[in-house]
Amino acid sequence: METVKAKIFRFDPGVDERPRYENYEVPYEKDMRILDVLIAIGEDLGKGIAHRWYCGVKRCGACSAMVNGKPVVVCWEPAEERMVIEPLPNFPIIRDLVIDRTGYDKVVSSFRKFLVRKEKPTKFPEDITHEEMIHVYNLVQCTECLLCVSVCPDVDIGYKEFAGPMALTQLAKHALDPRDGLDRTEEMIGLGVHNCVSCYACVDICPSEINPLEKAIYPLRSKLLKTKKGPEAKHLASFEEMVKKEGMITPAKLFLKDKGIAALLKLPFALKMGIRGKIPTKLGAEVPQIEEIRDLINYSERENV
Amino acid sequence: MEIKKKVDVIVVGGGIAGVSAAIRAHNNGLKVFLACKGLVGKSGASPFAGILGGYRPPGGYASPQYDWFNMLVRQKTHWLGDQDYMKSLAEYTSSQYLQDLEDIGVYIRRKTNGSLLTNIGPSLITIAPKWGLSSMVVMEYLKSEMIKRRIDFTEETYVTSVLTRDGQVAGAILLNILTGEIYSVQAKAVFMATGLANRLCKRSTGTREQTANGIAMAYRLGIPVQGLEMQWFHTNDIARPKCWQRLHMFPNQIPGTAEVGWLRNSDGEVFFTQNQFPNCIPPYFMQCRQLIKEVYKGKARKDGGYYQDYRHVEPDVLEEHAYQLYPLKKLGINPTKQLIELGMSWHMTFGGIRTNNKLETEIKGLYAIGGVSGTYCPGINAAIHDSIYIERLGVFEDIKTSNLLNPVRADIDKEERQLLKLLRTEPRQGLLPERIKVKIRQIMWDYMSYNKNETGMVKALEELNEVKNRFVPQMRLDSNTRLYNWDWVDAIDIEDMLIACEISIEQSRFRKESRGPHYREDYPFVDNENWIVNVVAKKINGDMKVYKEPITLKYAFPEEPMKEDILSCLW
Repeated sequence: METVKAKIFRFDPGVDERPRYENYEVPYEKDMRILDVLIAIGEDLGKGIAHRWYCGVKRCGACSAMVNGKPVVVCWEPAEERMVIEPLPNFPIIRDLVIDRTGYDKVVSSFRKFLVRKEKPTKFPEDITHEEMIHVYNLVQCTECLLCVSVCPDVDIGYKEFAGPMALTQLAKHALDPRDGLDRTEEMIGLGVHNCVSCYACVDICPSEINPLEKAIYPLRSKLLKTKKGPEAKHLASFEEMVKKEGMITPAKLFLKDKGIAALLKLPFALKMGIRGKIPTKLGAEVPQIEEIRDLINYSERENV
Repeated sequence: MEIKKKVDVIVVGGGIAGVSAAIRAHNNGLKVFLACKGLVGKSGASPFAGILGGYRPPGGYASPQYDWFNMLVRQKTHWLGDQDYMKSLAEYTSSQYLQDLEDIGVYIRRKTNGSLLTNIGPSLITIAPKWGLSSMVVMEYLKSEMIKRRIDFTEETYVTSVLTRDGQVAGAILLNILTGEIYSVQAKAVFMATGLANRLCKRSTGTREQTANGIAMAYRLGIPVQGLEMQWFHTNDIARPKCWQRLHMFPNQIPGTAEVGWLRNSDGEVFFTQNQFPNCIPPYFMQCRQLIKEVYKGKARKDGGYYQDYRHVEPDVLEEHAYQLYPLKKLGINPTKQLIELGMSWHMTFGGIRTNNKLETEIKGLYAIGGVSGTYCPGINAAIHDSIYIERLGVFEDIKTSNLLNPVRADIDKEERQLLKLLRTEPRQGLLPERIKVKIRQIMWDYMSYNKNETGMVKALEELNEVKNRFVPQMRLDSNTRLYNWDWVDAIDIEDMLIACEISIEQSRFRKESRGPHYREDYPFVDNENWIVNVVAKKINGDMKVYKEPITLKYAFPEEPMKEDILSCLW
């Protein structure tokens, strides 16, 4: 590779009617990162493209952009021979490649983003094990680069229903800290932890390999379920009860259990289903392997699997 | 231009020093406003210290303090530091410091048996959570302590000047980088906490926005600046890619072991290991000396041709603890089998804004906190210690009882005019400011990257003058938009960079000896007889005057020979 050819998104909302793309070519240097290309366009070609970066080593989370259709941290990824460089998708644009983070910042500030210790340590070093801190140890590496939010198919405009993996990671950093003394139930519900659809997009894209889904969202959900609060709690409690009792799920019975009297609202729909022969008459009985199933459930609860 | 806020203290800078000072000022009942040019806790030097702690007290970390004081006096400040300040810092570091970190939530890595993970060897090094990420975690928790207290702060906001009236602080002028809005804030006091890792050289560890603004602001106000000749260079920063030039291959002992990395020259010969020089803690100055000898022999260059070797270290240990080896994998380098090419970089400046013992400058209400001050011993510990120190000395009480003054309208207008004058796209043949910065950094790399001499330094001044007189007046931006116009920020930075570079060079010329990180090829001897002094630069009648200010040694005195060849120094 002798040179890098970059096609760069340019847009100044104060001046331009619509975005345009400009082409630049810079000499390639060994191990060059995409950020090096952007800097070279300024330093060598004298063209002032607006782009945000501070640390250059994947710590500040500021330089994320979309390159060849993929959201990346530009100081982390190698430069390719031909690149189309655009702002990180799903965020408002301030200028060129610089996105407006303030909307998302508000979400991340909507919970108590700090540790409130159960009690002040009485000595140094305090009594804590690495195993107890294993969540924090991992999650504290989140640089708030926004890649996971950018690819999440579930975040809504204004983040009202689902705040996205990054906010949940930031919450989990404190909620899963054994030293934290706050009840974070309302915060978990408020950020919509139950609304994640487990698509793994955040896991694939995270440049710090944090695994927000399995290491933040799922543990938060487990924690929330134990409190038996929140929209999912009733449903999952019914589910668990049925499995323990009968060893299988009969959807109709689960529906009735869940909704209770509110099931009546669905009566017209139920009648339509009945006419089409979609409602089973058998409403549940124990399966033959019920003892084994109960043993498994008890084991998993005991061992906290 | 409106005065947007009225506060007790404006904290300029969002690193460890600034955030700690904001918290402590708030705890003392002061109304605080913190402005960070970059992102709080994610820019400056603060996120990059890899290790915590210092020196193992005899018998373990619970016993009486190790001789931190003597280490600071001799090996950190090379006799230039104020000994009363260092007594305070030593006391803090060996008693309260690590505990304060743990209290706010910094998890210091444990072994499986629950005890602290430290190295094995003469010094106590701990990490949180990984070797290479420690102070990023410190900043996380400091920032959250600031959020907890609802302290008012803003990011990506450039404080361009401090307003004064009759020798006292009246406020500051700020530029919001996202929107281009210029506004002023009225205040009784300003804590300058702008840090010390400035990007003045082609290879520098500072983050993008670090351009010595605090030093320049103080200098313009007629405040003396001292010790910029005491410029620390890293030898162990990765050679490439360019934007990773602050990625450090730590020379210290690896957690859980007594192992260290080895430096090899281009012939494969080992020329430095920390264990070879057990008295050189911190090892960084010894590394520079050893490296420059290899450069002189033609067996290394300053930007490559020498390597860090971790091949003798247990792969499991590296994998588990060394964060900085994770980026190496991205380059296809396996550190357990391959060498890592390195380059020198301009790191932290030990000197800075000259203050009295309360960290206050000649302007009443203007304080220098953390690395930007001229204490010669920066560090995470010092950055946190400084606000505890000024609290003890009654600084917050002083601020409470001082008056809130009205800034001088003419000063505000003048600063606004000067800032707006730089927002120009003409003349078209002029250079983008970023390109002028490249010139400045190249000059500093050519003549001021560790091995200095009079001829080179004079040349550097000439070339910088050419930049100032020929290129800067013609400087122009690509666009005069106000929206995230970093070219405008670059343009504003340039005057500050030129001031800091000029001070650095003139002070290096003035100090006719070598000392610690300051090495002169033409004066390679450490001269304790004549040069235990502060070298100070001050703007007097528009000109830079460089002169000595005496140092009173109070508790500790040098026993080394009065004149010693620095390249032979074993400490």
